[in-house]
Amino acid sequence: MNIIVCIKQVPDTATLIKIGPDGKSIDSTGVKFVLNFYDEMAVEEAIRIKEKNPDVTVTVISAGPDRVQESIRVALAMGADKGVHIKDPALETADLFGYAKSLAKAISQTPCDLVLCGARSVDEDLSAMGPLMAEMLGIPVLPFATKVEIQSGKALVQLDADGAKQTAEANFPVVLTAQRGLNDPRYPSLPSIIQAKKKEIKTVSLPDLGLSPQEMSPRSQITKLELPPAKPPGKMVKGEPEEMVRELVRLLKDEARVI
Amino acid sequence: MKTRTLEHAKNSVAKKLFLGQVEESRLFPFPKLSAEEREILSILLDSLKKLGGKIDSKAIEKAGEVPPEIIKELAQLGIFGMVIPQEYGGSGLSMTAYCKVTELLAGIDSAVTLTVGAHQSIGLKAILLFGSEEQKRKYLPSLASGEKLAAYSLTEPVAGSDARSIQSKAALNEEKTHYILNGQKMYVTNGRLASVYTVFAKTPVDENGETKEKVSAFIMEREWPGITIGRDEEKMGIKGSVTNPLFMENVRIPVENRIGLPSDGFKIAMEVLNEGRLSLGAGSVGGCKRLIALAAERAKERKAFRHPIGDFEMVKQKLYEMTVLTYAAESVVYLTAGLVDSGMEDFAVEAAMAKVFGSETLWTVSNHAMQIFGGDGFLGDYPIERMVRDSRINIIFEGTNEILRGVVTLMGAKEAGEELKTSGMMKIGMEQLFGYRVKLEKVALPLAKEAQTFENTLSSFKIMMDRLLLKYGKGLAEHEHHQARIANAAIDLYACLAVLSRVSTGIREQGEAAMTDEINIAKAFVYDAGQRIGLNLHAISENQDELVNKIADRTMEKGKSPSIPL
Repeated sequence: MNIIVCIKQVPDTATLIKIGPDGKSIDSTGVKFVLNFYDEMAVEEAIRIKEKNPDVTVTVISAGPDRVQESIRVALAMGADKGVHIKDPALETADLFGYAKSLAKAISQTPCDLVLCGARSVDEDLSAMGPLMAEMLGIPVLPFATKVEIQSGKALVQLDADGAKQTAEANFPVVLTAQRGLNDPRYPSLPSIIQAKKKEIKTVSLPDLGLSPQEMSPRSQITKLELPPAKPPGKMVKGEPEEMVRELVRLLKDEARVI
Repeated sequence: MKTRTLEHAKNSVAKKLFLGQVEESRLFPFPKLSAEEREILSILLDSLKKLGGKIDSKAIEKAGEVPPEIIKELAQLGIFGMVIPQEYGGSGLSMTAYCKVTELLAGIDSAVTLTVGAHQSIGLKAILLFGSEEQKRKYLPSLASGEKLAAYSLTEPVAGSDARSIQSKAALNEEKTHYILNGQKMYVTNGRLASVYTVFAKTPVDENGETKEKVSAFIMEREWPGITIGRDEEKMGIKGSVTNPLFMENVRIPVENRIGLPSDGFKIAMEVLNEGRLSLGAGSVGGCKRLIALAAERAKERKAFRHPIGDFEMVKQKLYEMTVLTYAAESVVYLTAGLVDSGMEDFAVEAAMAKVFGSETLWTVSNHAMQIFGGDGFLGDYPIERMVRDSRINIIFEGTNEILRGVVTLMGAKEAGEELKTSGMMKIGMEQLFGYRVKLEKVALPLAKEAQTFENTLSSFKIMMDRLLLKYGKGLAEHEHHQARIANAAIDLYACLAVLSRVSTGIREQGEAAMTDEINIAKAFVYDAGQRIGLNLHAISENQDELVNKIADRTMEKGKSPSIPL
């Protein structure tokens, strides 16, 4: 059985994000890039399936600049078998559609029963990649999986439908996207990091995949980026305990409107 | 892996300072991790940070031990076998990488750091460095996996710093198959957690027809009959690190478990400690960085007189000292680690310097952090008071800083003494009269003035060192006031070099603008260090040592200091 996990490298959520001088992109100087947490869960799930079924091969695919190899290496250190890095200058200006196309094309050229990816990325948060790839590949998608079970030739999946639980199944090949709660990703150990150094990462260009740079031309454009408004300073509630509680409840109800 | 001999190449860079020499080709550029190790570490450190999220230092302190689950996770991560070569089941990381991991762990929790350090920095080090192939094959794999922990066991009730005077005895049985060990050990870190101990005891050794008592080193297994482990010691800090006494009564140790020759034990004991000291410096740096982060945030957030307290210069002074000293300590640790990785075998002096400078920096930094936190720093609700308590032991264990100052000066003086013999009185006499000059070639231009400060102070240091040697010769061993002054000056000189190398390398690689902050730090450190060195050297000729000794003697005699009468 072959599992492909698509991963994305994203800015570490602990990094202070600054908008670049063009006003349309983030300033990446000094930004630490890490494996997207939802994709980490997807990798973990693939490795767990592999641990239960010894004939499974897990391939990790990522598209982007050289630095994404670091994240592929993390996935390999977690236990994935091999990596594919799609690298092409045309990707620099590509949008979600271009990335989905290049990933889908790479997947279509590899024997594959199951495609896993994160339900969302912590940077752009579009939740679109999994469904978009499934559409391009012409296979079903079960998004926001919180539990996955593999049975001969099909996946039994519990899905998070905005808090409600949905149980679904689909025959292979199928795309699953990992939602928070699916698992608790392992962190790579020193011996497995060293082992991962010996695993292969194949670099392919768009022409290698049979795609032309024209197919990467973006269908949408970011015209402006803005940071969220600065948080107003916290309010201190004063007085006797009873008054404070009453005031706090009032503020939560009337001002913050969270209860 | 080749077994280390007890003789090593004479290639210490810090000892050269005692000859007034700087081996710039080895000190510049500042050493770097290999690209391969950098990649490994960037993933490993992230793993450790995630593990760090599960570590509750307050709970560990209360329980008096690191939870077994955390030890198990550290073992699974491969942390207990970092420095053990892959052929014995470890990962074979470099000294620099080991220091980086120790630094990160120390910023998370000191008890966890010590559990790992007592195992790997010293517990298994004698087997790793001096063990036979059979001993390595037998013991290292299970120690690398963390299935078993190791402990180092040298100190005894009446033998602390003076380790040669240990009382534990090991005598061969009649069949000559076993040593029978009797004695008592103290302050054994990981005492009750360990399954394998490196233990030192005296054995009778024939030397030129005479029987002498020599210190021998042994590998002792916890399971053997006759070993009793005492209670967990109550301590001021590092309460989550387990410390026990060990009692040995007729413990039968197979002869094949002796490490090295029967007379090698003392040297093995010292070599192991030399190795361990460097990572202790790295741990101190980790503690300092955590305290700096806490103090910087506090200084920005806490308001007094309608200002953040960081606006006040007395607070700034503290943050400044914390930053500059930590930067220098870090430079000393990683310059030394890099040199060790590229083949510096003789690093006892550098490691002692890293330990003294690191531990005293940590003490200053934790003290300043507490002051910046004010009353809150003293409360158990904040981590500061625990970190102050945890930091204090570093000045005492693995060689007190007093012993280590002696080590620095006397080892350096030995090197200088040999040079003195060969270079002849004429040259020395000329230098004493007309001065001695040293020139640095590789310091980057923005630090030209600092390079000059270094050259001037090193020149005065060398003149003063020769003067002391001419006056006292080997008798310098009896003059501890001078030993302390020379050691303090030598440590500052080495730290200046480390900082100048680090910042110069940064300027060459990243340009001056990117290094602005660090250039400022280097300028400040070299200035401060130059002042301190000046004072120390000056006090060699002008001091009140006799008065100091007299007052101390009187206090001991009377058992108290004078009081104002009623």
